[in-house]
Amino acid sequence: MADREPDPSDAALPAPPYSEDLLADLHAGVLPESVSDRLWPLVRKDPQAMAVIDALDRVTDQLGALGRDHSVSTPIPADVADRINRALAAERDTPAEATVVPLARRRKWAAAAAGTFAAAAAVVVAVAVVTPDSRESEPAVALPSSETSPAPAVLDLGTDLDSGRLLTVIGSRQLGPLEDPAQLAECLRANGIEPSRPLLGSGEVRLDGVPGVLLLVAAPRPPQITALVVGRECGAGDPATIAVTEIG
Amino acid sequence: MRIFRGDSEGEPSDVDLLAAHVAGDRHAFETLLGRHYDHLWHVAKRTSYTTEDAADALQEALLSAHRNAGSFRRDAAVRSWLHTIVVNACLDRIRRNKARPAVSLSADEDDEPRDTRDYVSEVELSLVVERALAQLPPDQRTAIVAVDLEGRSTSEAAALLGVPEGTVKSRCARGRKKLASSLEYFRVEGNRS
Repeated sequence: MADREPDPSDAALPAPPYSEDLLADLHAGVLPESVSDRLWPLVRKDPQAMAVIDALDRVTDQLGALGRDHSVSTPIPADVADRINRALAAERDTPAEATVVPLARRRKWAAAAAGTFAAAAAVVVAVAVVTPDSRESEPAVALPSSETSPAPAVLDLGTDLDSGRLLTVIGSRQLGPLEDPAQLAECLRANGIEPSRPLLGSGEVRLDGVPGVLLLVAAPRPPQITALVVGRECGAGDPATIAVTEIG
Repeated sequence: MRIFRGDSEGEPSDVDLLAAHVAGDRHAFETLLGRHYDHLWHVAKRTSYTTEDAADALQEALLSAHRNAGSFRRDAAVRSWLHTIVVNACLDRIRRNKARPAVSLSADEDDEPRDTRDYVSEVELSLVVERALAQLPPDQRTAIVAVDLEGRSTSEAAALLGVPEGTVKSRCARGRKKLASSLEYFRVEGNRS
């Protein structure tokens, strides 16, 4: 950063010695540019301040090295490993082919089935589906109130689009007001989605109290999925978009 | 039935095991996990607010890996692939549980003894850094894990954690300062280990 003539607004800058808190904020980019732009040149000329900055850089470097060290380990508790192995065995002892399970039955253990991770979570339709009977253990994550609804009820998404819950409709076909293929195609088109993209799942939902239809469509870049919630009036010229998000 | 073939030493590689799993071998995945469980548990713990969360997230992650093993692209080590899935599961769990009060790892009932020398890797310095990291408040620790350890950008970390980018930066600032302080890096003279 180039040195400048002292600016009247320099009076607003803190005076040295600069606190560790301030320098940590400066180092992390917390301060507004208008402040950091003026502060950095002063800090660089101040040996005490630079000692702090150097210390923070050193910490950051070491944290990076620690993160890249894939040999670190902590013995996994036996009960944790056992529980996971049992869940995997239950997963394994199911038919390999994709089975479309009605939404209500699926939801009981949907938590385990929902892949919510960006990397490698290639959620495609041919997901091995676990039938409730063969599961030995409880799902790791309990879904909120929608879990106890009778079949096939509206999936309450609460107030935000949780990718885990969204993905529970994969393989389901519950289009409600959008049953008409022509209307569905128009609805997708109105939302900027090519109707030719595979529809991976659909379900009637409630988002923030508003009823709608959730459509899971393969995004242009697999394994990403576009999750779109629309109102019942969605159709030609009316996107009726309630919410949209990308998963993966 | 065991499908995998060993290499010249008779031990199947990680990639072999994963391929065998995809091909239908019933034991390959568990064998594979046996090689990586301790590392993945370590990662899950430091990337989660509580030990319980770590266990839940690890289970979710490994179920996903079990299901989606076919998507593994052989451009990285299998351990790195599993590592990333676990980190993402942990951060996503934090995002989903935002409403819950944060409890520091060190407040866990069944915590390991403070002297982690028996458990953590041999390298003296990384042990010290790791221990200092474990002592941070969970929100600062997980922000630092996401950004400084796992190399996510602050905007990526913000999206994963479900918080504004400024919050991520501020947590990182606080956490790094605490670490530098507890590692005694702020001394201008003296210990420069």
